Amino acid sequence: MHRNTRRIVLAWSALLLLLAATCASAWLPIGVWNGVVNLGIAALKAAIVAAVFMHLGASSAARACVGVALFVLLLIFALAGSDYATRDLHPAAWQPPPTRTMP
Amino acid sequence: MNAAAAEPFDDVRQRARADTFGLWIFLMTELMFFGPLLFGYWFGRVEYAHAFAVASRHTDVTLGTLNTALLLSSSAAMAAAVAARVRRATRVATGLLLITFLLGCAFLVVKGLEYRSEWHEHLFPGAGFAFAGEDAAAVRYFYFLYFALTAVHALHLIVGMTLLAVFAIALWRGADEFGAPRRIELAGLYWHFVDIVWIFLYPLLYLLGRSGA
Repeated sequence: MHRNTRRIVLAWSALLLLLAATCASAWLPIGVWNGVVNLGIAALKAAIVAAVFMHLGASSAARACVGVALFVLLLIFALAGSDYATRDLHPAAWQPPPTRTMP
Repeated sequence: MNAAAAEPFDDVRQRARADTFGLWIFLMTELMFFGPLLFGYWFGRVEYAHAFAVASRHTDVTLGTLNTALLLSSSAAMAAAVAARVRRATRVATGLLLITFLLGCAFLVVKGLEYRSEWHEHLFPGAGFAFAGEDAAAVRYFYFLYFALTAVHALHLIVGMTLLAVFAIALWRGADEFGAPRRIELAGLYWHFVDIVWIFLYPLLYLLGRSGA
């Protein structure tokens, strides 16, 4: 088997195993850790796809690009999130719209 | 006009690097495109944690898992297609592009089946939305995000499948220049990015709240 092909098959098997693991772990009663495990496995799967299939390691410019984008996304989440986190929601009760009285 | 003046690059390698970099920049603008929806999801998950767990349990986890497996496999086929094209095994590359395309088709069929049953369960957040329980408004919010995220993702998948079909047909007809290895590689980058988006959508939309009572 071609060396490149073997790498791809290995990555594919790892991705399917991780899929099985993340799916099975979702039923374990471990509270907030479910979310941590699921997102951790998702990040690992994304890293495998980026490294093996997309050759991210071969291009430093691309890595810088990804780094900047993730940082900006984090910044947006942090700034917008801090706004939502420090404000209480006070939904107003439903009010009937004003009706126009005919002269 | 000579070729050197028409090209802003010193050599083929520099041009290939610029192509790759340009496509990565495009992919990262795509990430920013998904960003607001993901922020909306994060807000909902923190603010309406219980309702989001209830809503997520109503998605079809079997079909969602099947679809994830289909997309992961399609990415592997795409990577193999690129590798085959680079080593000039054009027939193999064409076949693998076709397999990738068919896996994309299968994904869309499964997604369509999910949409159909959700529509019949009145989970589409339109005028016909109905959900028993006090969390109905937040569940509706979850399903708005569910449909928006999956539909935008499916749209990207369709764009990717169009690229695959065009290149597969070109290689089949022997258009060696049109289906140059460099171009197949760039189409592959786009396909893998769409796969990565789904890798994150799967736990966010399907696995949330499965362990809770």
